[in-house]
Amino acid sequence: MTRSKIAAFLALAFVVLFCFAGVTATTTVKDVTVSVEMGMPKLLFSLSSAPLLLIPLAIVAAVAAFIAFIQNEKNVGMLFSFVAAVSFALFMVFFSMEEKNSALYTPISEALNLAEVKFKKRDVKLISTSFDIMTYIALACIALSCVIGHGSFAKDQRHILKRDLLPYAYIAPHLFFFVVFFMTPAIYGIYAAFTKWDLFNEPVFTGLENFKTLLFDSSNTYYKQLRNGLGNTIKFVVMCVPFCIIVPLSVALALNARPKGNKLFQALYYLPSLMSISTVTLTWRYVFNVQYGIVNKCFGVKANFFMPPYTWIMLVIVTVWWCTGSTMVIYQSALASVPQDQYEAAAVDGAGTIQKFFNVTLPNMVYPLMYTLVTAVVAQFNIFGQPDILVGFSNGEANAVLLQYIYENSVKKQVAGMSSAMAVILGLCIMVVSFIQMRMMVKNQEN
Amino acid sequence: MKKTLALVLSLVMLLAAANAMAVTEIDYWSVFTGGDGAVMQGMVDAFNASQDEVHVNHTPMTADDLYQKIPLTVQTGTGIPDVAVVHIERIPNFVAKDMLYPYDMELVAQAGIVAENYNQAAWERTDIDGEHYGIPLDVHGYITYINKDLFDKYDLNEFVADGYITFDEIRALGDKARAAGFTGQIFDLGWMRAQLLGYYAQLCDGHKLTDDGVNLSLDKDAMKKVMETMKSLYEDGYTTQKTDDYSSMFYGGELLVWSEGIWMKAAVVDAGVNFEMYPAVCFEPSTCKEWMSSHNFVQFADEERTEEEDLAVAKFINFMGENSLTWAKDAGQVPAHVSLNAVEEYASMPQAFLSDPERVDELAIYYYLHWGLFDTAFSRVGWDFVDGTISIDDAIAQIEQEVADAIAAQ
Repeated sequence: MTRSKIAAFLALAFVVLFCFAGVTATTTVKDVTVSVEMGMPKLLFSLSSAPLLLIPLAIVAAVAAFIAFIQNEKNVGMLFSFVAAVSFALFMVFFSMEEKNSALYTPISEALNLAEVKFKKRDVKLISTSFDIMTYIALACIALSCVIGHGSFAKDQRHILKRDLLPYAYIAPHLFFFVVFFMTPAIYGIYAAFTKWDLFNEPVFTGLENFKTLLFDSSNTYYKQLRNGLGNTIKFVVMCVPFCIIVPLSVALALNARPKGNKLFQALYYLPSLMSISTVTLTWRYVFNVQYGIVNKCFGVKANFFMPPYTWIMLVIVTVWWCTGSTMVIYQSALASVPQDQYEAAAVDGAGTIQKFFNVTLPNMVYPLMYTLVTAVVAQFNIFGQPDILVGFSNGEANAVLLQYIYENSVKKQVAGMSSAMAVILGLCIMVVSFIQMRMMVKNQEN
Repeated sequence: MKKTLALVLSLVMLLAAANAMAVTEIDYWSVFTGGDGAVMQGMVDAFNASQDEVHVNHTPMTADDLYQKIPLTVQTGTGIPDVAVVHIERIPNFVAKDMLYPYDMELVAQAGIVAENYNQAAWERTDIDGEHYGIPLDVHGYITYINKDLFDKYDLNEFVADGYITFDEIRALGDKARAAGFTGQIFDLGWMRAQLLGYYAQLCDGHKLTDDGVNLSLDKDAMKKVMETMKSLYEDGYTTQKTDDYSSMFYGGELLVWSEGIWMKAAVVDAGVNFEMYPAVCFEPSTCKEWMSSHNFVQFADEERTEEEDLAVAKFINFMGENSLTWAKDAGQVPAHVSLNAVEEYASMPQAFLSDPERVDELAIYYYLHWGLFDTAFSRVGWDFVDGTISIDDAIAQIEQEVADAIAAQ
């Protein structure tokens, strides 16, 4: 067996042993000492300890190391083994340092109740933790895989080491933040969808209960909210996305004609996309204000744009204003790369401006158009800031989009499990739509 | 040797002096923003200037923000304020989740805080399982403002002669004013939750929200009558429309009777309106009640807080109570510290009628374990039942269903 294969085996052993490793927690309350044991996988999904965020990083790195070693990429395997070992060791250090570990409070409190100790949360002063032998063996395995599987450090081999590892050094910062702050919370979010959770106490695993309620229990509030929210979100996407394409395209075409001051206008059009959603919405709030708004003053009307039938129009205007800049830049770049000889050939054939646009410009812009269509659809499915700040629930549920319900249920009402299930359904919808669009894009490219 | 000894002594004296000058820093979060926030900051500054042992750092934020931040702050155990002001309705839920520490009554008594000094309607509601969790700063509620100039102009004072305005009188005074040429609006439908819960309290004794303390069980007949009354006033043209800016209408002399919080008094004074305050509009004067709440000082669970800090907090709370004339004068609130009742300046303020010990029973302070869920669900139906988007029966059913589903899903 080669060193690489042994290292791969050890990296795999780490993942397997992790599943059987555990921790023992001990505390003393009112002279009664209780101890409980908890397996690592269960601990991982307790959702209430910051050091636990390092575990997914360690697992992902160990799997990456396993794959690298299998492919005989010793240096890469060594790097990922090292990351996994360090992440796991850091987790063990920081987790042990937590004086009152929230992840372990629930089983500890159950043990205290069993021991018939009357206590309040604040009486549980210190929960000390110790890892079992399996945890240390798992750590030893991944550390050994790094030691055994490494490539050569010989002077004449260092260029190979540099060649193998340098690309990872470039992506390492992004990868770290992606795994810890994006992928891990996303995994936890998906897990939370299968629980009953009030954000304060430990989540209780309920299997598919939330999805069953959301999809089949027509008498339930959340069933209705999902339908209304998703319906309104789709309504908004259908209303808004065409303008998110047409308006920036028109502006890009206009600027492409190089009018006087085009650079200034380009900067002005791009400016809103640099602003935060709060700035954008608060600005438009004043523009559309019933009493003092410039729109009502200019047109001499007293319309309340925050109420039906104007609400959707206002939300589309605000969104298009905000999104135009970034899409416009993509179109400008695409327009600049349309071959001039095609225009010239079209002109020779007697094509007018409109014919040139439809027969030369558009066919050359299919890819950027499809790309912006996908990104616009995904972005508008995630609409939240505009309706939440401008309208909230002031129109009852007439304009409520799904993310408003998700936010309100999870943060305000602390119904986090159900909200996560709603978020997962929204995510799946976006994935399906994006997948179809991507397929169309690829097909178009092949043609 | 002498030099070393002198150096050590100087250091010891320096440390002793530094220790003597040590100031206890207190983090204080409140739900006061806007005008109220400025008044509260002034009171905090006054406390800080009044002594040099305690320094209070005030962080104002909207109530929504505070109620969202607090559970996460307490759970993570970092950045927990030493003292915070919350609405009294929220306290049972915080206690149930073990998020609050009860006051050590012996310790707070050292700072002068005893139950007898406070409005009992508010104080007693935060006695839970033999422990005390809240010290009230004020009681505040939704009452009625009338435009005195318009009442004089259209000869409507007969309708307020007994100190109360009934729903029948709203119609009668509206008809009389319009007959005399008044073109504005008679009565407003504003913050529906506060308005409706005040009227609901008038019809169900004990302003009931729950039978078992956990699940929501409205008195449906009472709630239906309240909603039907609002709807009929709206349909008969006596109330503002959903799109109306009712506060501007009142300031501009286009609204006769305005249901609003007592905290708007300063704004009404600033607008230069000649006004009078009355209890909430009622079905019968004998059963008149208004929706009330109370801002309470509470201490969220923080294991690292010392007894010294707890005492400093108690001194601060006591100062706020004893000096709450400013709170009454500038913020228009009704202080919960009973010492204010003996202050002549306070007695002459329009909101002082809410401090009358005989009216304590009329203050409808709701107190329900899942108030937050109920508040959201109730606010949601807002105008929908008035303008007919949903029927009244459906509105009531929707509120109950939403709360029940949220409890089940938590």
